[in-house]
Amino acid sequence: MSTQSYDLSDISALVVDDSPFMRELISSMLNNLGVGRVSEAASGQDAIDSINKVLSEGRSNRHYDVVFSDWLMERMDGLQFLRWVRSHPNPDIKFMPFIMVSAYSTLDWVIMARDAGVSEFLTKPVSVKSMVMRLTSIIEHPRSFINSKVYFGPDRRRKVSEFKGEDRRRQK
Amino acid sequence: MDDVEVIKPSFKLKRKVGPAAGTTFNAKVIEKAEKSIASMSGDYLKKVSIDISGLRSLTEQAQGGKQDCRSVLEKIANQAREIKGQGGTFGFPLLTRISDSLYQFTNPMTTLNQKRATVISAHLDAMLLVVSQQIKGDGGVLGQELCKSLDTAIEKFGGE
Repeated sequence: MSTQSYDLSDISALVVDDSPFMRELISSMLNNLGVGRVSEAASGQDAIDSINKVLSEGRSNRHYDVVFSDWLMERMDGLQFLRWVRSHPNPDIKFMPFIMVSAYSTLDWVIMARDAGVSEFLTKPVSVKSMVMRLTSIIEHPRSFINSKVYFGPDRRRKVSEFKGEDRRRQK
Repeated sequence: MDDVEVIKPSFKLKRKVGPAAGTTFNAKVIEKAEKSIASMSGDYLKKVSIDISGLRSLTEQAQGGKQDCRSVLEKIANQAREIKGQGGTFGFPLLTRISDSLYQFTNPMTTLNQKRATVISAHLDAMLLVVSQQIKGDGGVLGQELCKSLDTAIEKFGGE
């Protein structure tokens, strides 16, 4: 069976990092992997401004398909930006795959990002292979979203296991 | 009872990039991207050298009372964290290891004395050695010795 290759030329990505070198590095990886449009922002606030600009132009085909965001930044960090994304009224924004890129990869940091609605966690140092793995995950295995009073974001239960409590989930 | 709504994934990205089963990243594209990133290694080493010089200058200023110690230590910790996050990308895990040690050392610190400044300086010297000699991988015996001496210095002076 011959293997077909992804065509990422129609994909638009937003790279958010306060380090110009990291922005250049991640953008370069994405460009080389064939991503059609890569935009950059230096903080969570700049990223919000960029998303609002795209929204104000009213061209839905220009919406970002995926965000790669650093965590620790001045003028709004990655976690605050993620919370803004997940609480946005526009479905194109609130369901957007959000990949947190961080050198902090201890369990408590990962859980904090997970509870804020992150799609994937990419640990620095970033490599092309780790980038490809995360992209493959959001393309091939996007998770259901959970909407409850206390949480909105990708399903935090990655493992399929028997749940012994009362099942309060309803499918949409 | 609180309702929990489960919204099934739309597979929007999958539809955009290649909906056929078995579609994947092209191995040649991945290889080309890796080569392209490797070609940024020279720029990276230049950048780290400049960062190290800046950190050394800041440390000296803080010692001389020209800069607020707390803000200098914060800058050093943040810069060390950045270097830690990039070293491995370009095949310099020893640089990542040393910058992580510097980050762990400076992050909780609020004051700077002569002994602590010496430990910071030793880290900067070690990082500069890795960069100037372009020591890839774990640095072998030299790398182990460097890390061991830094660990000892932290153990000896870290609490003072």
